[in-house]
Amino acid sequence: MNDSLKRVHAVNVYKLWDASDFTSGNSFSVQESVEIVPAGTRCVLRSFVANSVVDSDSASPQGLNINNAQAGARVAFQDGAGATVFVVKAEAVFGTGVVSWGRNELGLVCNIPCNGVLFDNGMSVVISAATGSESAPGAPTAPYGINVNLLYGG
Amino acid sequence: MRQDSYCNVYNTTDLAGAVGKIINGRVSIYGIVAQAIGSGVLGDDGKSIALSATDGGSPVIQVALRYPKSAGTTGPDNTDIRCFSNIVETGGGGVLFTDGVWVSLPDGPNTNGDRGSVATFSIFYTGGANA
Repeated sequence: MNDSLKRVHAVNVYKLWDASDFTSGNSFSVQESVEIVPAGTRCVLRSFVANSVVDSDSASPQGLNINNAQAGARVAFQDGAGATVFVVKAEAVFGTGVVSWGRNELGLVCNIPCNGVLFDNGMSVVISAATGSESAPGAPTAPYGINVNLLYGG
Repeated sequence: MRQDSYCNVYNTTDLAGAVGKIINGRVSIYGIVAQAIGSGVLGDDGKSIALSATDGGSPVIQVALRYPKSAGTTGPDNTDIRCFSNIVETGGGGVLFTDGVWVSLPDGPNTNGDRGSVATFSIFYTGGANA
């Protein structure tokens, strides 16, 4: 293995959209792509943690008009050509602080087995979020976003 | 370490549409991640996910999904904010499938409801390739 792939880097991708960023003009769905490693460069994704974040202390998630269905908050890992290698949901953890209320769950924590997943031509993380329900998209009642921490070698 | 010692990934957001052969060849499965959301059906435990080494064969690995449940008397609906992740890590040298991997959705332990409630499904494996 190339020694450069053994060096592990930590990256945080965090975006908190304002409630007003979700509009009928974008179908109450937003996304952002963050390049982690440029095209033409190899890296190995070793582990990641992904969750969505609501800037609210509400203990009533349904009241915030967050869509956690199929089209809801997601994290896509893409190669340098923009092809999606895999997608996971960003599960909701309330508040932007470190306290998670009792009814909430930790986001997905995934330590990829067998040395990780090789991205031999760059890697980007695409975060996306939708609000309202599948049948009735609408704006959330609080800022809403996604937080991803990942570790990669390369 | 050879390049092919890294994991391949099988991933879908439409598991119901993926039933059948999903991976070709001789593979070792090291990890499975299945994320589920509520279906809105009271008491719905949905389907479990089974991986078999032959078409229609007995499951080698079967994952019973864990769904979010509301505190009230009704089940969660599609706007329920909670989603659960079910993670299996085999450890060791992985689980060997000598000639392909098939996925099926056997009945769950309780009422079966919305089959679309598996939001994402990923398999980390070595050898072989996605079908």
